Amino acid sequence: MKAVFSACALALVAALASPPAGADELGDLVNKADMVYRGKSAASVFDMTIKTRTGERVYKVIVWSENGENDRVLIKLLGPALWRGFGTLKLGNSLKLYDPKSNHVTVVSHSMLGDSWMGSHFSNDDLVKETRLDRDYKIKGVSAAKRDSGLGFEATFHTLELTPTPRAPVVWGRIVYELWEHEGAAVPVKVTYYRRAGDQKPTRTITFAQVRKFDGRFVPASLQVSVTDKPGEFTRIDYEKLKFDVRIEPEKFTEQALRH
Amino acid sequence: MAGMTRLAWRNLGRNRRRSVITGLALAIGVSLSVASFGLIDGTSASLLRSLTRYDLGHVQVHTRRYQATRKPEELISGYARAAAALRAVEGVIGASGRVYGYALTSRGQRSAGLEIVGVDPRLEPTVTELQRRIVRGRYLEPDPTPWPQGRSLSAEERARDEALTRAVEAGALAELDALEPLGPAEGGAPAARPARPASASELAATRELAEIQAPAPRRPPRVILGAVAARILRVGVGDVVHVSARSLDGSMRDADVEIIGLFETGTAQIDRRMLLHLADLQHLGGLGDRVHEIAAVIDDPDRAPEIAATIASRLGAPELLVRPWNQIRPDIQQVVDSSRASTMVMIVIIFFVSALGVINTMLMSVFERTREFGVLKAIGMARRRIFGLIVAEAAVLVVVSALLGTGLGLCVDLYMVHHGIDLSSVTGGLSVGGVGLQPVLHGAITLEGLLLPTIILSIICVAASTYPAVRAARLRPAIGMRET
Amino acid sequence: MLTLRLAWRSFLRHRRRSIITTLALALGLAMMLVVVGIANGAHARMVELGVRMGAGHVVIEGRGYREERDLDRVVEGPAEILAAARRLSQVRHALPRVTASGLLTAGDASVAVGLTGVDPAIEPAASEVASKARRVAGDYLRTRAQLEYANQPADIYIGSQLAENLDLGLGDRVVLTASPRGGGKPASAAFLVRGVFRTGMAELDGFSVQIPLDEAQALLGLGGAVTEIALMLDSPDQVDAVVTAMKAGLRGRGELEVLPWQEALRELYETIVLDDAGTYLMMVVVFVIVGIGIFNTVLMSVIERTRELGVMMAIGTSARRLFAAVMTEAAVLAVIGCIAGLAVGLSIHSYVATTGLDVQEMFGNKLAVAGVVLEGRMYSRLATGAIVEWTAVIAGIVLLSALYPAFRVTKLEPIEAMRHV
Repeated sequence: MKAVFSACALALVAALASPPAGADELGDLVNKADMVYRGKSAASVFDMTIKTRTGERVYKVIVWSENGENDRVLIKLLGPALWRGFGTLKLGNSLKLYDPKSNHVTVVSHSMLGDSWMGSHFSNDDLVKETRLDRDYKIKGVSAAKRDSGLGFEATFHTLELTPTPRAPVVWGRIVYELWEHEGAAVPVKVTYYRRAGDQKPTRTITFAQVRKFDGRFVPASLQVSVTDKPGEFTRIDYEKLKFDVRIEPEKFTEQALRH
Repeated sequence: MAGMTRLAWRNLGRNRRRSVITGLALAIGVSLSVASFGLIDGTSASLLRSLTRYDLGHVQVHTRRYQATRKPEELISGYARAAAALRAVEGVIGASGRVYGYALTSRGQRSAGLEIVGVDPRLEPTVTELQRRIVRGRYLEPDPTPWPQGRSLSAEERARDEALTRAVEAGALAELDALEPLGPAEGGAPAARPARPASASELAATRELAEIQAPAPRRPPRVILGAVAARILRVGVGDVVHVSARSLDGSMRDADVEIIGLFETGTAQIDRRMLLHLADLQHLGGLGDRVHEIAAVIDDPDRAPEIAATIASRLGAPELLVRPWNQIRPDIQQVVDSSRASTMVMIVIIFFVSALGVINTMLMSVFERTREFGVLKAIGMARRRIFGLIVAEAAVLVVVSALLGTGLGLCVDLYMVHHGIDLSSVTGGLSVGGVGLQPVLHGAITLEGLLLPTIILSIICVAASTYPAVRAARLRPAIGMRET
Repeated sequence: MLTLRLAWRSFLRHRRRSIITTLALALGLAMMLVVVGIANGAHARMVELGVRMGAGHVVIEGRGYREERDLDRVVEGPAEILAAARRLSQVRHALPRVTASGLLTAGDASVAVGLTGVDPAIEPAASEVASKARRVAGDYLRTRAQLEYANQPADIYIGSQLAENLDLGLGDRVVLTASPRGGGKPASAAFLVRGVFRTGMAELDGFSVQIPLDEAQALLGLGGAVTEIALMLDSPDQVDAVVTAMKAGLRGRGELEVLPWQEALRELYETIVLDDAGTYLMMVVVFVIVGIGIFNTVLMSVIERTRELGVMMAIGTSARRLFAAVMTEAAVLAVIGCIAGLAVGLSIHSYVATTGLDVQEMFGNKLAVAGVVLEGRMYSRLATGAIVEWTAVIAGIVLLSALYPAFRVTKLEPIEAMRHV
């Protein structure tokens, strides 16, 4: 009798003591999804299609990145000929833009952060920002359901609501993050950004599609950014190749590399 | 009438000293009023000139949406035709189109965001006088930079472009394939194969294809820079600066430009600009033949509203907004109006003081001649005539003094018009409503400024003289004659 | 005082003439008082606005900061400078401030702005932008201690045009990004819109924001330093005294300089100087005209009494007494005229000094002169010393004008004079 009793008590204590399901886990999940294209380091080649009111352009892009306390990223445009050679180098929070035609490097000052990057729907700020969703936002699970992922297995589809922690230097009042997880991997599905928590209309939406295996990981091969105020416009990235955790020589992240 | 005047003149002459002294006071008052008007009108004219002839013009045309939002995509199409139509309107001296943009300009470590304006150097001088404010170097050249027009690639070229891109891409993919995974540091292990350098032929082909679509200008476009901008960037004539501007399709267009001149107007907003050839900026921004604004200058600034209306009807385009300068800058119109008004108030008060002097003089004159008036009345001279005589005396005194004063004032005006009042030791330059004024104030001679003081003084003094005139007329003959 | 009584009687004898002359005198003096008073009032209002919208009557900042705007030239250890300033009786407010340029982001839109870190407790009383009068929505900034939750974003106070352009309402979240001292990566912090102001000046309403001082210092990595200390005084007349006192107190700190508003708002100052010059020129004209009038009148009155004066000389009155007599008559004129002038002039002045004039009605809407938008009410201002001065001047002119006629009297030949008609 006494043994059963203490066993129950122990179980009860254990149950009560364990943290509420998922606060940290959700944070981990969101982080993993957000970092789906990153690793300790990464290199990728992709197409970037930009559709605006005036027309449509496609760039072929190569990106080298190294994550750590100081992110380092080198972006080079491979084509078409008109844009070949354009480069962007991010070292920590400094951003430099290179124009091969005039052989000129422009250092992006804080007043230029709002400008769009290469005419796309990403801003210079998007490239430079080091937002960590799990650190800057409070995450609440809205729904979780097991569904067919379309890849031959079932995955748990989560919808999460993110609201900024009080003093986080972020501009979004609410982010709705949809992702699925499976065996430790997290893959984003759709991210909707709202300016104010109570807004009905989002300001920006990023949709992910065509999940495939790249270098052993599940990654959406295609992502598309659209802005609600500019219907019909979008910027889409389609990955051709993506490699994770590769050794990149440090010279890759220098101005010299930027210029060549 | 003539007889009255001669009589008045003779009476004034009877006490020459008194008349002269009184006249002197009046003349001084008038001459200073004329000079004040000259100065005020001159300053207002300078202000207007600064506003309209360095920047605004007298009439401006924009699309309605540009006026509301200032968005760079709001453009006026068919610039050449519209400008020609404007010039054909009677009263229009010149019309010229402008394109506005914003560029990050840098040289070495210094950079600044500047407003850049594309102007047509052939037509712009008919609208603004900026070319007269060049302090160093020279104005823009009439011809645009020789800049071959880009064209889209032919099918064959496109195929080549795609093949080239595929080759480069293949190289990049291969580079990625050759990357080694991160692992424990294998001391001395070679890093990834260095990036496959672009072959010379690849570079040449790339350059050729890029040149076809967006050829570089044959030489750096030439620009002129405002003095304030030049100070911020620490550049001068002959320097080359890098300009990064956003083109209409959202991409950044970069170019190196050469500074061939510096200008200074005194208005900070204008002096922070970079000016270049309209065609060059249209090229850089991908605007084709369109402009943001057409500015026109007319012969008579006062007719601006009327001519603006004529232009609007002549263009017949409801999406275009045609405005005269005083609709664009009503605050400056206010300044001009109120300076005149306050000068008038001062002058009227001064003249009242003078009028009192005239009354006194006439009173004394009447008092002296009481006996005479008594006699005149006794022999039957009508009261009315005596009244008229006194008023005539006052009138003659005032008019003669005023004319003298006007003449004197005119001389001061002429000096101010040609030499101006140099205040550069006191101030470096003033601004009203953001419009800069040169520290040398010039006068302006207007008909109003010359005649108004005389007219006002005459009215005031003649009115004032009715008091002594009435007294003279009322004198009873017997009393008058009793005076010794 | 026989002379005085005679002078008074003479005044009365030609009542009309005397009255008219004194009227001219009075009008001249009154007009000058009113015009100068209003001009001073207008200038004072402009200075007040300029000073309250900007850097105060006196500003203490790093040497060369004005040109370079470089965060290395800051004011370290402001606490003791503030204490020293507040000890001066003329200083009404001493405000520590941090000014810098930054990027304000809301959603996906951003605007380059000028940010000012201020002390929320003292700023509303002292500055125009923070004052209740200019507030169109919300409240003013709070210190961290006053926030509802210890950990919420700090308050930000923005211009009405900015609010409109970025579609910001009260409570909306924004991020301010700026380049801190020493270069390096831009720093960002989140803020919630606490209030909105409107000054009528486009640069402020569209491109200016205020945040609490400590937030600005943290964002820019300044530690305890500020970029400037603005002093608001009880009256602009005390500027020189305060500048001297502060300079003396800061002698050991050569990296700082003390600037009066005349240097900080140079254009405004020059405009006022020129305007004053114009007014004084006008006054000279008035005095000349009045002087000539008096001269004429006194001369005439002397001439028409030639016979009488001749008689007086003949019976033994000395030339000196006659001189004194004429001068006394002029003095009586001066006194009565000045009293009348002061009465009229000062009553108009005191009306305008208490009720004030609406600048907008006088000069029209929203006129900016030398960078300051004129508006609100202005009050006539006359220094007592100045009033006494000018009254003395006009009295002096009267006496001066009477000098020649009086002198002429002394030269009279009694016999000939008596024969004068």
